[in-house]
Amino acid sequence: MKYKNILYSFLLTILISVLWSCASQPCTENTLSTVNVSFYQTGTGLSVAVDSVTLYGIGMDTNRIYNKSTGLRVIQIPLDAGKDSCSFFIKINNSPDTVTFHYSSYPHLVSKECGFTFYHVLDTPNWKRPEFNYQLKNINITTANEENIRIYF
Amino acid sequence: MKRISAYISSLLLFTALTGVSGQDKVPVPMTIKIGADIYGPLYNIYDRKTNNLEGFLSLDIDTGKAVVLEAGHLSYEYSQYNYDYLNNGLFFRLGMDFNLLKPGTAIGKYYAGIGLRYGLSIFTSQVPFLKHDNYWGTATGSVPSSTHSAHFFEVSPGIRTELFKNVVIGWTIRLRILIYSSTGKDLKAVYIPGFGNGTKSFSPGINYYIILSIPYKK
Repeated sequence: MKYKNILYSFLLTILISVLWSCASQPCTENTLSTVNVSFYQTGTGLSVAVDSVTLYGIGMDTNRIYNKSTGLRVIQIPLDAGKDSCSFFIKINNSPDTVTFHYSSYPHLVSKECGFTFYHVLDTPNWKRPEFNYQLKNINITTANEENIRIYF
Repeated sequence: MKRISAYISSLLLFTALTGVSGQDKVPVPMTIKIGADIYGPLYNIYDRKTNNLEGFLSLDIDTGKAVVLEAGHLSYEYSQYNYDYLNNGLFFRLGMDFNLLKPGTAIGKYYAGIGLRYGLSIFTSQVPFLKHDNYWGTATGSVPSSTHSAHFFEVSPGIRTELFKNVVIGWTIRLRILIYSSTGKDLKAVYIPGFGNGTKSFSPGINYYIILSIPYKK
């Protein structure tokens, strides 16, 4: 009798687990791949927060990604997966610049529930007026929030 | 209604017999079992885009163990607001079933046990349409058709009981772990035939079998 109860309890637990797993789940993963830019202090190499950041795509100035945002150590820049390059206006503290990213894109399945995103492989960015020291750390643009570019000032 | 009553009666009889201790010598026939899954065709009535057909062949090697070969075909379509997915392919599972009931209890008619399987899936998948929205708007794309394979390991507890002479019914729960898929990390299969959700390393499933049991030795 004890053996039978243990067996039935085990099978019932597994059946419930199977039915629960088969129920549709919501999308909970990050689906946005971005170029992650971190700020560092020249000399010490320590991470620093900038006083002010403004960032928007060229032709998208009414839709600003960052609008005089303060106290940021990292900013995230989305690329246009429908093209192989895109340009941004960026102003760090009081120094404006324009940067153009060239890249290749490929689809990546995030999950069944979330669907696909696009990952990118970055070429060396073109800065119009390089007033800062830029360092390309990782050319792979994914959803993993890894550091891609360092700006030293 | 008659069959349902017979099934319920068999299940009750099976339940009663599990409390009975086995005899020293019980003539238990060795059988070859040939069966088909009916859960897949029934599920197809609910979801017309998933068509899974599979069969079952087992050979008793003693009163508690059997060698099992399962095979099947899956045709799968999935669509949501941001992508469409197509997949079809064959799968095979090879392994053994272990009956945890004593021979005197099972008497060649009842099974409550655990199966172990190695699975292989060969399939073709395609993403005819996908889209992704971000700051810049909507980007679209597609992934052309390509052929892949996947290997997995499975533990399958289940119960079977004789409905009437030489006809057995029962269900099996499948707990699968993906060993390897050739799709790569960027274009994982949404569904792998015989395995399930290809984006997960663990995938559960269930089958309901009707089986013809043919004695070949006593």
